[in-house]
Amino acid sequence: MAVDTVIDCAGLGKRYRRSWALRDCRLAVPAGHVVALVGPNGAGKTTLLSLAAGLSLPSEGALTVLGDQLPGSPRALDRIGFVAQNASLYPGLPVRDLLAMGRHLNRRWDGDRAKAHLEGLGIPLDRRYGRLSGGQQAQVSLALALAKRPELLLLDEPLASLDPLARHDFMAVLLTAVAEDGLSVMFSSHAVNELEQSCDYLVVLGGGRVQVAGEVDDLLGGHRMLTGPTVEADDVADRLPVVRDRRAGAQSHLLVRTGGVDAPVSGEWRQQRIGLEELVLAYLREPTASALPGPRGALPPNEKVLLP
Amino acid sequence: MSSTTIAPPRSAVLRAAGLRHRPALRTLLGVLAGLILVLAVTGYYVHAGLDRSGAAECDMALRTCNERWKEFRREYGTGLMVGGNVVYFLGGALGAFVGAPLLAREFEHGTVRFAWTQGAGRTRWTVGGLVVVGSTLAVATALTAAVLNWWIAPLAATGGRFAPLVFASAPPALLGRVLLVFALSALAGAVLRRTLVAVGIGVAASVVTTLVAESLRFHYRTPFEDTVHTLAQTSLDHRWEGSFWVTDPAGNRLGLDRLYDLGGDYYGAQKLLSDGGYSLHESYQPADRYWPFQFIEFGWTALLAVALCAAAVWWVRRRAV
Repeated sequence: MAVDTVIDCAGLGKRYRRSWALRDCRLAVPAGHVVALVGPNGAGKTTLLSLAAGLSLPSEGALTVLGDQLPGSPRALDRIGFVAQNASLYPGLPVRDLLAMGRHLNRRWDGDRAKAHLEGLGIPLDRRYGRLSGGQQAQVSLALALAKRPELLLLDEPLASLDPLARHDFMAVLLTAVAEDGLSVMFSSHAVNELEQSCDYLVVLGGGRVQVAGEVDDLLGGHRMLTGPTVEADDVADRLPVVRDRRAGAQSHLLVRTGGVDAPVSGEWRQQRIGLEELVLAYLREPTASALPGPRGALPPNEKVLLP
Repeated sequence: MSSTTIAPPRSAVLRAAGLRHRPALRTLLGVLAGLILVLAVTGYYVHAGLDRSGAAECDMALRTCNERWKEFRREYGTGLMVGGNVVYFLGGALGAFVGAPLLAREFEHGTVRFAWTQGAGRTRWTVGGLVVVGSTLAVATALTAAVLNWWIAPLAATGGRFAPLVFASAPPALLGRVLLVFALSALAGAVLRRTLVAVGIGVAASVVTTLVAESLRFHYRTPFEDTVHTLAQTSLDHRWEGSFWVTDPAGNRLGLDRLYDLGGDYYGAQKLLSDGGYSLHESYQPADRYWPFQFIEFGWTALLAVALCAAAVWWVRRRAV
């Protein structure tokens, strides 16, 4: 069954006691992407993934997964794989027992692939989970999630505690599975500098709200960094939607949204495309800026960004 | 498509729960096997001592027999009393050590996020764990209690099987109490998410349930009443004597101490009873109500345990991580 969106929510909010972890969150992630969920600590990444996995319920609004499924429903649980932060599993159980548990707890189970995957990495199946290295534990969690043959795989900070080599191995296994199965993936990450090779869709959360959502190519093509004399900066900023405005002495740097074409500037102004890391950092530094697809209501005047 | 065709079968969930709890269940069975061994060895010596003393066969109303019994008590009584009291107050705590980590540790280790996102879903997973661990605990406890009941049987030689220490260590009563504490600890672990706190609550509950059960026990069924005209010990059939009171010739109810006041001393009081028209009454439970009482006690504790388990499942269903 083909689905058009893997995560779809509107007006989504989640409150823990008095503070809102997510507020007025609107997102529609199309299927077939590797989605990176980026944001500072406390931005609501784990909350959003928990809601999508059905581990918690929203305080307001609604969220559906894989089209129109409710998170946590039997059909959603059957089709979604979830790897939690720190990949915690039962430390006293050998890997073999963990795989057997997964087989018993799921309708679909590809145990051969999980075994081949772990043996290929040299992870002994009779060793207890608690005695594996961090990288091996992450691989076991990933193998368990992939053996379900999920249509959507959610990973919460899968790379956070891994060394560079283990990160590379982890992403290699993940991307191979994506290529083979065509599953959709959404993972949260701090590792902004490693995103470009791994994801093709980006969601930036800031302060509990969605700041950026879109395909990486569109986002990179739709932004330009303009550099020019500060005396003319106000003039340029009035004409173009500015994400980030840095003025230093004689020269100014303006990150603007152009909607996929070059910015209409001339004279002493130069423009260049930017990388994903630079783009993400610019938005994270400007919590009020946003770049979202689709129609939106009137923006409050203090928001700097206009829409294409 | 209904949900039953999507989720894996219940038997598979039970197998998964068995794998998950296997280390804990192995530990439990090992500890109880060791305990049974200790009880078997020491019980053998205690029973041999009782046979040697001859106190088991003779009539306890006789002075010589009583001396033999006292001799036996001097040698083995302390051990029996200590063991009996530990079981009496802390026997239920076995359920706390097994029940408290069942759900609390899942939260502490963060493994809920794995377990609750599998195809089986959190409800079946929680029920499976409670069923597998609870039934293993029940079988192991029943076996241990059978041995324990034999071990402590010498204490019943004088007091009868309704003596609190003896009654509380018989298989039905002890099993019910262990299951009750198990279920309460599991619920506390699910709510508080701290294994240690849940163990503490379970141990406290073990003491409380013992005392509550003992205060209720005499009233499980309406006691019989008996009237006698002597102060000498009358119960030779190991009946469980509840309360005593005295009636004067006019039928007014008095306390026993009032009778002593009227008679002046023991002999005066005895004379009032035998010749003065006063009578002594007692309420009691006959010895043949022992097994019905065991099963009544098992019944209410086990029902409460099932209700607490259901509450734990309900809590897990509505709780977010």
